[in-house]
This record gives sequence, structure tokens and C-alpha cells, in this order.
Amino acid sequence: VGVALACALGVLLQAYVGYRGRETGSPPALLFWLSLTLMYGAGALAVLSSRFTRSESVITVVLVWIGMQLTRLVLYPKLFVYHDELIHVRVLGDVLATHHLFTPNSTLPVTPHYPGLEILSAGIANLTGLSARVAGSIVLVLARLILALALFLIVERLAHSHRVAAAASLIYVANPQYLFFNSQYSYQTLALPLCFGFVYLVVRLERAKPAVAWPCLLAGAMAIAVSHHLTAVGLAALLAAWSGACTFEGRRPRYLNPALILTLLSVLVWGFIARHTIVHYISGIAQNNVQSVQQLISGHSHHVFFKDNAGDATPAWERFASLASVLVLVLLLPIALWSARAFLRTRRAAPLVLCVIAIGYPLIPLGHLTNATSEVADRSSGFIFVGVSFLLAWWAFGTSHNGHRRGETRRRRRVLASAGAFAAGLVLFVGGTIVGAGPSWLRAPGKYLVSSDNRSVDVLALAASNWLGSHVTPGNRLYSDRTNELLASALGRQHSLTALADGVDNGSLSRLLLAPRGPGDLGFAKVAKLQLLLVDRRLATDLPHVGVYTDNGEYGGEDRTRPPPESAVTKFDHAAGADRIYDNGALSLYDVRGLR
Amino acid sequence: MKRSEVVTRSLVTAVALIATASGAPPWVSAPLALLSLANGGQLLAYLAPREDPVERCLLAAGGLTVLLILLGVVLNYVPGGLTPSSYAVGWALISWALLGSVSRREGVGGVGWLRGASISIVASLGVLAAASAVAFRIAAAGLSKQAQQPVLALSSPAYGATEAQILISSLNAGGVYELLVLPDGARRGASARLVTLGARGSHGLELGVHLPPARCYWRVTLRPRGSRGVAERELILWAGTSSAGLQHSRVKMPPLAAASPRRRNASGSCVPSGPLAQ
Repeated sequence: VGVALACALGVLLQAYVGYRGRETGSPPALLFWLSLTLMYGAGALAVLSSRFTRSESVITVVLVWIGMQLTRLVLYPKLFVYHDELIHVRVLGDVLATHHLFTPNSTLPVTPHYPGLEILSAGIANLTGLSARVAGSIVLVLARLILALALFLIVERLAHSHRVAAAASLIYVANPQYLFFNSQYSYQTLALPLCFGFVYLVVRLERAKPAVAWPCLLAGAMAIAVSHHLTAVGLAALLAAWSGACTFEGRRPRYLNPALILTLLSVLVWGFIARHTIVHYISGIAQNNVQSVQQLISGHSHHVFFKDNAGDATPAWERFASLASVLVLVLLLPIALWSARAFLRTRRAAPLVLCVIAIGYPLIPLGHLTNATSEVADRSSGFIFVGVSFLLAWWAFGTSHNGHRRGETRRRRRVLASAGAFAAGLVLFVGGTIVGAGPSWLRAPGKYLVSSDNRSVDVLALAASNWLGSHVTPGNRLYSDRTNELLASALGRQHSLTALADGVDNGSLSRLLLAPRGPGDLGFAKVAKLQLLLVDRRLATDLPHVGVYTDNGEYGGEDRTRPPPESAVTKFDHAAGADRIYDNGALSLYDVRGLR
Repeated sequence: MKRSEVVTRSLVTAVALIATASGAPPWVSAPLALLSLANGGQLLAYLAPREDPVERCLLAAGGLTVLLILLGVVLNYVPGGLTPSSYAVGWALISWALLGSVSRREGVGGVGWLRGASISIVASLGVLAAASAVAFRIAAAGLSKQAQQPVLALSSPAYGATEAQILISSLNAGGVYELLVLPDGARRGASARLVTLGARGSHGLELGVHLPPARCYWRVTLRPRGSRGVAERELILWAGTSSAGLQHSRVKMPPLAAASPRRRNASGSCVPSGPLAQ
């Protein structure tokens, strides 16, 4: 109950942080971190207490995990506002409006082909009559519950200790993507829990008849393949590694190889269905990463640590905490790995695979050397931290380790060790969360900021997109800045032009928003078959906080030191044939079909 | 499983199916559907090989998720697609199939599973649920604070040859405004139409305005009464263009102005600054 009270207080304080952010324009940072630390700290204290029963351990983990998820939902209670969330809101909107899957989504063409999240949300919305937002929130909480229970049961089975399982579950919370990215309404948020649940299923089906086991495995593999491409591939790789390690152990779970085969088949079949978008998407990410690494090696990287593109710097204590969390892990992991030689001696395949995964941890901080690789590295943390959390929890609380030696230690030393573990846990949580959370403005509601995802979604931007949705036919070719394109797509149901979906040259098209009047403007609009142009005049007031106003490769993007001139965002007021059909003081919508 | 329990569970599924398929309001369909989903989840949990409540809970949540996803994929290829009715029928069939396979098992059903839930666990979940409810109220209060920011929007969802539909939307931006329609570069001449908007809350005003003869374009201007300064909001509608093709079906044009394109009334330069392409 103590943990529940702490979690309840944490959720309430987070709601107050959002309230203050909206009221004053600046969310109270101290309260933000205190509330999260309170929840995590209460959970950590409970786990450190060796008196907890198994059911109390489970409920502690569930309370902390669900509580953390609720802190995300109360910040923006009525709308999903983050970049990836708006992409998936569009897909969900399409499923609910058309009653079918695979409606093209220009903001990220691959997403309609992996609609597990949206199918589930649409199912709940359709069955209950609740709004899309409420249905989506139920799905997110459900996903958290599955992930919490699956991780707990997997670790418990490997370590034969509910205490280790609870500790691992709390260490996992410290992974950089846990609080911010993997709590968003996005496809991997659902796929990752299904993946862990599937792994547990493989183990639990040991004594099941083939007539039961095969359909269960096929259903699980298909659901994951339908939900997220890279998670499904990651699952196949994990199962392959596990199967390979079982050769070393000399014993293999009965349904491990069938699970591997069914996962591979599901990935291939669904990948074939989505081949037109997935190949282009993945190869694009790979190219971006290679280019970033090449730039880094050649010394041409523009990446700046602890500062966003508009010059907002991360506070000194946050820099310290994030570096401290990396340092703690870099120091502890080798020690834990040294202890984990026991798994080599006993030839236990599954723990060995998790240890190998944990060795991949340095990829996460190293990935932050460039912008592109930091995204990939952070996203891999959902997988890597399974290994990290198991290894550290087993090392710290594992029966083989402390059953003999720690039992002989004096009470004083035990208290000291517990205090150390508690402090290390807090550092890991706060620092790890900062690493993955991005700049401070990304964390909670506040005043409007230029090109800053959630902070750019204000009442004026929402008013324009909602007007589009209710007064303009859907599917017109529209161009705007990054945030308003997403809103126009998700809420206005327009076809937002992107390089990824439409092959438009963003370097040229972005001139319409960012460059002063030029001779090529009419041509750029005609080539792109542009119908609507949504201009946010506030772009001319500040540099873009996420690095770009529109997308990569935009006009002036490489060496930009000042915002576009006022004349750039007002030039269509004087363009013959461009009807300004909407004006709310900040945003103007132009019908440019008659441009001449 | 006892026969009475089988009947009760079947009825829960059937009532939820009827509520969803008949389009009952959310306050009726939501609790019934959630009960039906919980029923399905619990039936899935009974398939777990051992009586571990944690494992059963995982099987219920995970199985429910997987089944709903696969059901959606199948429904995509059914005529009508993913509708409330098709989901309701699909879920009812799944629930009854699960019930059929579980009902023959011995030692399942009843309220025995409740014994595993101690008072402290129930209290913990209750505390978190209650706090969440309060937290959402606080968040909603924050949203209403933010919604006090004034928003004044002027738009034309439909425009034709001689007439345009003008929509003025305001949120906490009340007052008396003048609406002017000025042809070409004219700064005065048209008689202003007075528009009054409520001071608090959301207001919308739809007006049909006549477009006087113009060479090139019209400026539709909204400004506070008596103000001679810059317009608060302004639309620019060009001769030769119309909302045809963009106009949403729910937006109705005034009957006089069918969606025919406007004619340019005279030749000459379309200033303010000339055409975009030089």
C-alpha cells in the first residue's frame, strides 16, 4: 500500500506539473523529477526489503510500471501530441473512418502496413464506443501490464527468485526509452510487450500438446509481425541466438525451434505484404546512420551534446546525472559479467544469451555521438536492457551470489549495501531517463515553442487542423512545417507531402515556407501538385528546436543561424491566385490551386 | 465449470454483442464490452497450465491482445471491414469458443480466483485508480486554463462567383467587430457589417457575404469596431478561383453562389505585388 500511495502521489504530482506548465508556460522541473523519483524510489525500497512475498513483489512492479505509464497520459489527457503518436493517430483515424487497413499514410508510409496497435485500439473503440484517445490509452496500459508481467516471469524463471525478478523489472525502468518513447502511442510500444510475452510462452508450452502449442505460437508470431517490423526481426534474432546457445547447453526447449520457424515465416510473409514501404524505410534509416558515422569519422559532424538546435542547453545537474548513470553501468556491468561466468560453467543457454545482450550496452551511449545513430541506439535499449536488468539484478540479489556470502555479512554491511543499491538505482533511473528524454521542453506541456513537437501543438495549431478536418475534403496535397503537417494529417485528414511518401524534393518545396520570394516558387508548387499550403508565421520568430522546420534537407538547413525572414512566411499574401481561406492570427491556410 | 456460470458468461457476451451492434450509447456499451473482454480474458487465463495468478494474468492480457489483433486482420477481408458490429460478432464468437473449451474443464470457474487477491493488493490498485481519476481532473483543469487563450479565426469554407461563405470562430475573443469586403486594393468604400461575439467560451458565426465587382481579388477583413489599424484577421480571395473540389460536403454554399468560378471583371495588373512567378 505504501508503494501504491507513492505511485498515486507521483501521478497526482505529474498532473500538477502539466497543470502548472499550461498555466505558467514553464513546467516545474524539480517537481517533475521529484514525483518520478518518488515512485521509483518507493518501488526500489520495497524490492530491497527482503520481507516481500512474491505477490507483493509482483504488485510492486505492476504499480510502478502502470503508475509510470499514467504519468505520461495525465500530461496530455485529451490528445496524443508527440511526433510518432500523431503518425499513428492518422492510421487509427483511417481504420475507424474507412473500416479497413492499409490506407496510405504519407507522414510515414510504413505505418499502415504494421497496424497491430491501431487494430487493437480500433477494436476497443468499436466494441466500447469510447473515443480513439481513450481506447489508445487503454491499449498503452494493457501493453505496460503485459511487459511488466512477462519480464518478471522470464527473470523469475531464470533466476529462481521473485526478488531478482522484481529488481530486474525496476532496473529495466531505467532504460532510456522506457519513460518517454516506449510509453508513446507508437507501434513498438505494443510489439515489445508481445515479444516478451511470446518468449515466455515458448518456455511455458514445454509440456503442451503440439495441437495446442503450434496454433498458440503461430498466433503470437503473427500478432508481433503485424505490429512492428524491427521488433519481429529482433525476436527472430533472439530466438535464433537462444537456439544456438542451446546447442552449447545440450538441451533445448521443446518448442523453441518451431517458434523460431513460425516467427521467421511471419516476418517474411508480412514483410512481403509490406515490401513496397518497408525496404525503402529501413534502407533509408541505414543510409542515414552510415552517413552520420562517416561524417563523425571525417570530423564533419554537426552534433552538439546537451544542447538543442535553438540553443536551449540541458541543465548542468541533468548532464551530470546522465553521465553518472552511464558511468555506473559501465562500472557495474563488467563486475556482474565476471560473476556471470557461473552460467558458462553450468552451461545455461538463456542466461548466457541475456549476458551477451547486456554486453551491447555501450552501443547506447556511443550511439549518441551522432543524431541519426542516437535514435537507433536509444530504440535498441528496449532490447538491450533486458540483458542489463537481468544481469545486474542477478548479480546484486541472485541466490547463488548472496545466499551464502551475504548471509554471513553483518547487518551494518547489509544496510550499507542496500543504501548503495538504492542510490545506484536512483542514479540509473534519473540519468537513464534524461539520456532518452531529449531536451527539457519535450517532457511536459508549456508555452509554445517553434518546431518542437509537443510544444508546437497549441490551441492555434489545433484550431487550424480541426478546421481543415471539418471544412475541407480529405486527401488534398498539403505542405506545411513538421508539426502542422502531422496535425493536418492526423486531425485534418489531408495528404501531407513528404519526401518519403511522395518523392518531393524537400530542399525545393521548403522554400515555399522558409525562403524569401523567389523565381522558382510557382514551379516548385506546380511540380509537387500542391493544393494547400499551411503557413505558421511563428516560424520566423525562432530557430527550430528539433533541428528542422520541415524535414531533413530543407532550405537553409545545414548552416542556419537565424530564423527565416518575416517575408518568407507572408509572401503568399501577395501571390496572385493564392486564396487565403483561413487566418487565425498565427496560421494561414492558402488554396494554391489557382496560383499563377 | 458450473452450468449456471456457463449460462451467465454466455449471456454477458450476448448482451455486450447486442449493445455494441445496436449502437447503444458509450455509457451502456462501454461497461458491457469491457465486462465481455474481461470475461474473455479470464477464460483465456483458465487455459494456463498451472494455477499461478501472475501467469494467468499475463495469459489473459496477452491472449486478449493477440486475439483482437488477429480478429482485426481477418475482419479486414470480410465485407464491411472493421466495424463495431463485425468486431462485436467476431469477439462474441471467440468468447463462446473459449467458453466451449473451458466449460468442460474441472476445477475452473467460480470466484475462487478472488481468494488470491489479498486486501492489500485490492487496496493498492484502488488507491492508484482513485489517484488517476483525480489526476485526470487536474489535467482537465489545466487544459481549460490553456483554453482561455483567445483564438479568433476568420475563414471561408466556400466561395464562388459572387458570394462567399464566411465563418468567424472565436474562443474567449469576444467583442464587436467590423467585417469588410474590399475589392482589389481598396481601403475603404464598403459598408462594414457589425459582428458581435460573446466574451467567454466558444462561438461560431456563419455569414454569406456578397462579393462586389473586382478586377483581381477581394480582401475580407475582420477588425475591432472603430479600429483603423491593421486588420485582426484577413482573407484574400482571387477572381477566377473557387472552393470547388475543396469544399467539404457538409459545408453548404448560399444558394445564389453555386460553385462556379468567379470571372475576372476587367483586365489589368493583379496587384498587390503581382504574380508569384517572375
